[in-house]
Amino acid sequence: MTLLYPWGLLGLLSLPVILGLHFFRQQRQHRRVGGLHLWDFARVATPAGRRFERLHRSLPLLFQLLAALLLTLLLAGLDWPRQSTGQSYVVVLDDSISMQATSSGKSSAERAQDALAKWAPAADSYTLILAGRVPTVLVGPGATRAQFLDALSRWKPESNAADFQRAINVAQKFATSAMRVLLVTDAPNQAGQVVFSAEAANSPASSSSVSDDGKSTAPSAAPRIIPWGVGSPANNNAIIFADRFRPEPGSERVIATVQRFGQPGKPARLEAFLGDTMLGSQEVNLATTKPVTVQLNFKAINQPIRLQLSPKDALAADNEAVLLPGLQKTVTAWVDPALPHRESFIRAIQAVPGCELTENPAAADVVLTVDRPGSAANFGGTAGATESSEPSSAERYPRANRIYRFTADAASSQSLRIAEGRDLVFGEESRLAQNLSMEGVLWPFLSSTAPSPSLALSADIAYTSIPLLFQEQSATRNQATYKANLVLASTNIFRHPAWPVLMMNIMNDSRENLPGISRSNLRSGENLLLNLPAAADRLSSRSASADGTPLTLWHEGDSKPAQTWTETAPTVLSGLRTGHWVIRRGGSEKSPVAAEFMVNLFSSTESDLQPMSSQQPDFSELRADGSQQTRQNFLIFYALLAALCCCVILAWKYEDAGH
Amino acid sequence: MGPTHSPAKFLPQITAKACEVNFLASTHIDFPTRAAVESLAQKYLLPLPREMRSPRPGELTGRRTGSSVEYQDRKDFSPGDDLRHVDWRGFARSDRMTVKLYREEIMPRFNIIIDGSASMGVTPQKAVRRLEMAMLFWLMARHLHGNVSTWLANGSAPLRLETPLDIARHPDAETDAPLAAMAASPATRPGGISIVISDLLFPFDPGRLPTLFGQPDQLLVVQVLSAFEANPGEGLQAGAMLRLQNAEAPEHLDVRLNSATVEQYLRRLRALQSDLADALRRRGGAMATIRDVDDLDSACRIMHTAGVLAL
Repeated sequence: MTLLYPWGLLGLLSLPVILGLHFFRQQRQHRRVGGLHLWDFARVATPAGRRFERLHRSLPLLFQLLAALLLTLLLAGLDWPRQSTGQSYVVVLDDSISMQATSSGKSSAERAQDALAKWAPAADSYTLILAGRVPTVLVGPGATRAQFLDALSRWKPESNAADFQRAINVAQKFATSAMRVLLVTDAPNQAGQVVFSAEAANSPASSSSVSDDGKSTAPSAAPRIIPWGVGSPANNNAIIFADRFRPEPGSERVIATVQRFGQPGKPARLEAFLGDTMLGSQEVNLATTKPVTVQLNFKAINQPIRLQLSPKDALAADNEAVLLPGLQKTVTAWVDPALPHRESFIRAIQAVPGCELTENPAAADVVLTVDRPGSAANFGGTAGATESSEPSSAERYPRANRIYRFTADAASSQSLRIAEGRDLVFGEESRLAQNLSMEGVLWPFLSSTAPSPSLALSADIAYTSIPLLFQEQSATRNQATYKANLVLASTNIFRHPAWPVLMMNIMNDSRENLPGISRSNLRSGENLLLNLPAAADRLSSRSASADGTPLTLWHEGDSKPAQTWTETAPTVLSGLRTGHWVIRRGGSEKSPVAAEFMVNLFSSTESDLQPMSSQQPDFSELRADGSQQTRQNFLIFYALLAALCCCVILAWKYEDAGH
Repeated sequence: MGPTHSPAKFLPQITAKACEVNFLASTHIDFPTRAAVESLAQKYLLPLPREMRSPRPGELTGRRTGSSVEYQDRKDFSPGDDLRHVDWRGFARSDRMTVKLYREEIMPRFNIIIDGSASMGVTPQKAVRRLEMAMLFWLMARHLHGNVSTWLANGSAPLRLETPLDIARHPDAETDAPLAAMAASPATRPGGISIVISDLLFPFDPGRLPTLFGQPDQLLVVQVLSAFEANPGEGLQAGAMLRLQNAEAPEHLDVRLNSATVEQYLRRLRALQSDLADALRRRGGAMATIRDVDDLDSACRIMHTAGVLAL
């Protein structure tokens, strides 16, 4: 028997108060009346004598005292703890795909399930946390053995990585010093590093604090973490990377990288299938443990291609990959006929793969035009806002996501300027500056202040202080306008190697902003950029899609969407598990597809089964010393509450009945 | 109560002075509620019955034919009529002998019967209220120039008092049958108006009570109760233990006062009052119950509503 709140016993002071009030009330008042014949009915019958009468009259007092006593016990938290010998465990289970690795006919996951089922004591309670890329509480806290084993039997490891540090952080939230955290993994040595760092963080030296008077206070107790290895080292062949693209129209090329983990082995065979039809195969020499890249060429195919590595080995998950058709995003560019050196623009654009030119500015994704003095889209002005007679950029180029304005000659060069803070876009980290070397470019700018009308850019002049492009304020979110800090009439950039690179960067930048997803084949753990029309124009519409229907993200084989975006779709998807994913416009499985992509494992960490090992824990350490976990017995609480209610009712009843 | 006073203090004064002086002198006694009682006696009237048996000739005009000077009617002469009332002038004019009739003059007889048992003094207020009621009716009867007799009923032969103030000269009797000897007393002569002032908290048969007072022309009963007797639950905490001491006998009763007890007592009290009121109504009488804590105005309004007083 324990008292959870001993201060509640102060309620016992109410007992003498009740007694005092009772005896005070018991004092008879005397009244003289004219006659008693009207009162004879009220004479108290005392059939069993005075003693019985006293007892009978004391019933309200007895019930009042009992009610006060019960209330005091309730306040004091009287409890007979249930299952006083039971202990709570937090089990952190490796949820990575490497747990699927089979050895001796059993996978690591099955070995973990068997070992835990065999070990788990019946009277104890459990919390099961899956250590995946994101930790997940599968069951608990305080689950019974049956609940624990039921959840364990339904578990299948399918995460592409195991973040033990985050999982143990979660486990420590559930665990107390008297508990044990059991870390079940196929790589106990790797997990041991995490355990060591977690225990070091909770060690007395690190967790003890110093009070104001300089004395060290007691350290905060941390739960003990015990690793349990269920893995087995094995040789493993794996596809660690694969992708497909079209080198030229009508042909399809698949590139795959295969690696041998463990001892050098026999050659393997990489086969490509379209459904059940084999498209081609190639032998892979795995005499070394170095990655081997394989190339397969086919006719252009618009269906998914499945790659399979044979023969089968310990981990089947990394022997297969599915590649969806690569995304073909063609960028359409329009070059203003008024631009000086227009031929140079056209030649550079034609050299960029996946680009085509158009004569219709309204159909262009990229617009390269002349910066006309006084234009509404000039520096410092809002595009399309100053002159109502001239159509705005959004009206003139409705499809364009990038507009570049170039200064034609020196006469209008007064509009050029030095970068000022946020409008600088041409920096070292800019996508437009990738692989771009401007050394040797005659770059005339600030003609009115510079000693020379033109200045050769040298390596000691930082790009960040002399920008090539300024970003102007745009009326719409998905249309960016850049102003070139360049006078076309007096620059040599067209004859410089930087020119085709700059044009390619401009085209690729526009390509990435075309509607749709960035890639169709992803590696596990890789982020996916989303540029869905709904997400791209969030300012104009609060709903996820333009017509108000929600966007849903489906994983192949699931009956419910993994995510639903009713208002705004994200621009980046991360933490996706392996498999085929589909984004649909609508909440049904049959809703139209907005985009689809494939996430393959491609993880050297998961495919490398060499660090796997088996390690039995010290079972004597599993049970905590001394302190045993107890559970509050709510039955006592409810019984006290019911008894209190009964006493109050009886006290009121007897009081009113005149006893 | 109306005027604030301490009955325990003024009662001895009344008693001492009432012993020395007659009624005329007693009107000069410093009586705390005297002004209020006299004012109410001027305001209200005693309701008289339509017919009164064998009243003495007096100053009050009756409804029947009599010998007063107030002309009432005329009728044809018949043998035996008083020749002094023959209208000779009319006989000379019309040759028809008629007799003038005059309204009678009566002097009503009042018997004020005051309960002299100890129960009327369970609270000082109740004792005062008995005195006030006796004085009120005595004054109203005097205003009617009636023949007023005041009787103190204390279980034995009723004592005739000079004035109601003489109550104080006689100690309250410890009897639970104060009206037992009324039947054979002069107070119950047939006719007249009997006014009974009592708490009626003694065992009696409500149907037979009016017969104790003979055959009065009118019987008016005023029941004076203390606040506790009228409603025991008022002002007391439910469940309180009480020892009820009988004022008229050395006996007591221990009761716990709760809602059920109070309800039962009130039911019995109202049944008693209802039965008695019905019996009185059958005899042309009336009954009113007043409390000692009510002020005099309220008490008079209650009595007027019940028909014990008239305006």
